[in-house]
Amino acid sequence: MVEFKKDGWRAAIALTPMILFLLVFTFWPIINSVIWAFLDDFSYGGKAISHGELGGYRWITGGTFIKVGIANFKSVLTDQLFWVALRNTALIVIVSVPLTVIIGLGIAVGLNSIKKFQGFYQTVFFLPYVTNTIALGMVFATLFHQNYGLVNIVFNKIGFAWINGTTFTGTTDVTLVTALTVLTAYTVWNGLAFKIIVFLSGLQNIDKQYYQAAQIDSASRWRIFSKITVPLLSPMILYITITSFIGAFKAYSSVIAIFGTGRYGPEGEPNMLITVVGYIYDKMEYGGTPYGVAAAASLILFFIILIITVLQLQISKKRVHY
Amino acid sequence: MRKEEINAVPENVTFYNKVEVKLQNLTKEFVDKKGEVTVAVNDFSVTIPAGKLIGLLGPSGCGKSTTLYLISGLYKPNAGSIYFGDDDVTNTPPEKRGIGLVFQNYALYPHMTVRQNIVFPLENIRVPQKEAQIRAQKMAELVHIGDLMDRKPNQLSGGQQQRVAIARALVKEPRVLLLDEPLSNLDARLRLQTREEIRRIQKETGITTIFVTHDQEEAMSISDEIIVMNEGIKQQIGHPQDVYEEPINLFVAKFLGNPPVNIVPGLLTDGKVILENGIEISTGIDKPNQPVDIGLRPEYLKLSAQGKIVAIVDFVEHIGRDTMLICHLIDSDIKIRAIIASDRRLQPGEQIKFDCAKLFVFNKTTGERYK
Repeated sequence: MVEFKKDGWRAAIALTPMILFLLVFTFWPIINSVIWAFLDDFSYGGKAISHGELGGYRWITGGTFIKVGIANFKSVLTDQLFWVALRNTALIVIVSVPLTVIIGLGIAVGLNSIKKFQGFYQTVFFLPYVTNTIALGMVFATLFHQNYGLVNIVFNKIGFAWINGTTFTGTTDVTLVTALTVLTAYTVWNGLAFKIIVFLSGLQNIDKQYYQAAQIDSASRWRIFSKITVPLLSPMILYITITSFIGAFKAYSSVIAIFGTGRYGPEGEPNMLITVVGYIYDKMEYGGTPYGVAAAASLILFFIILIITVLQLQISKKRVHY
Repeated sequence: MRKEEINAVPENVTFYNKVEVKLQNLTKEFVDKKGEVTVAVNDFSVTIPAGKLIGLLGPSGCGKSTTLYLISGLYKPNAGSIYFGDDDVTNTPPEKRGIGLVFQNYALYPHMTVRQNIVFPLENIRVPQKEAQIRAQKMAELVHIGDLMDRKPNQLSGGQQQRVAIARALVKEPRVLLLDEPLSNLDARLRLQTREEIRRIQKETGITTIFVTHDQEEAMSISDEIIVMNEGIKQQIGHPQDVYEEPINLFVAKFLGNPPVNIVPGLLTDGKVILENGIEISTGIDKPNQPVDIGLRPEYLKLSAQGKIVAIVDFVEHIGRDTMLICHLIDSDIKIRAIIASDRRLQPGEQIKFDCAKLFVFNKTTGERYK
């Protein structure tokens, strides 16, 4: 018991700094935003609050107020822009998640099966993972730059606009499809390295004898992949799928990286690819709206992600083999 | 599945395609990262008769598993050939050889039920679903796991997993069944039971079966023939009892037998061997006089009033049916073990005399046995 108590103290001392940071920067903001979301006519010291004035932590200690209600949610749900953002986010999720999982799995299986240059290819595919995200974003943004991006120029020449409305051959409007294509390419490529690492480590943990047994039993390559590799990798696939879903629902920086700061679309249509997180930031930064609306939108996003994750876990119970 | 459907298939599962397996000058080398070459199997030639159960026996690292994998086709030999009957299968990929392989850890697919595991090889070769199910059920019943078909491997005991692995290997009716250390993952009691089970399954199917083991008792108890290997080289092949009684060299004599054979240095002189302490035993061996190693199996030493070998008892171990004596030869410090009937009660320090019913004489340098 003495031992245990001593260890308990040691553990507590070791954990305290982290717990403090988490309390201040994670748990309190979460609680705070839930509270804000349900406060109507949010005011401090008798006057309506704009974001510049809001101390964030002060409202409990002073100020008048405050009516609990669901006005913020009403405001979000009746806002046309929120639905555009939700549609865009859903599109990003639906398109990019399956693509990224399938491509990541394909590359990992390929990498795992080659012998020569495996180390070289691994390095090539892992390089983006250890490279600064901002740097990657800049490279990508340059490639697809509205006016002088290499990819954009090439496609504009053949009369196809990715993210710029005017082309050399005439004016072709940028559509949601072309913009989304660029965004998907960026999203998939950006997240690929991590997925490959996870899949590859999963593959390397599969006992080689399963493959030898399958080979002796005349299993075709496709049957080996679908009946052995995928089921044995299913915990990794589930993990990657769920984290990709969550990541895609939180898409924001990818859009900014492509269209430039403060815009979610090509010139003339700044909200074409606005996402839910983009909408939340806008509510905080622009237009003088109180934080309550942004908090309400965050909560809505949280519940959407929660429901989908729970659904995935339920569905996967039958299909994932640990 | 309905009962009638199962009964529609003949009662006995028998394989008529018994084949002889012939290995000719088989050599397998492994090269490590530093470029060092290890010869795992060295110029290995052996003919394994059709329809027999063969134990491939040797110490760890002697190349016996490599030999098995060469036969399976998972490894490609550097030289030599492999024949199944008249078919040269040396360059045939494993899936076309018609072999069933049971891995040491069984390699059952953990995400599939027993049924799915057994049916898997049949699905691969596109056996119609209904027939595949019937064959799987038949095979499961042959190995006595018919009632476990819907379990997952992790819900089975080691012995049951072993049976599933055997059923999976046999279901496609291979020409040769290969088992890699089939009993090493089982506890002692299950080991005894399972080896009888392997024997029974082999007899019922009549399939040529080769199994690898480092456990001599395991190999000797169930094999029709054993092949003793050491350092990649075949030492001896034959009926287990013949190999035990007539080992071809010192290695085989030492490797077989528990308690192990006593090895005593001696001098071969005019057909007799003279031990360190002057004891002479006649052998009838016609070889030049030379120092030799003498092998005495513990059970070949018989207590006898007229015995020439005089020894002092150091320890007495009662092992139930017999008694094992550890003694030293008089006027020397050479230790020997002897097994005697348990009705003779001896005390440490007693002087005893042995007659030697049989002994082996080995060349001191090559280990070759003189007869």
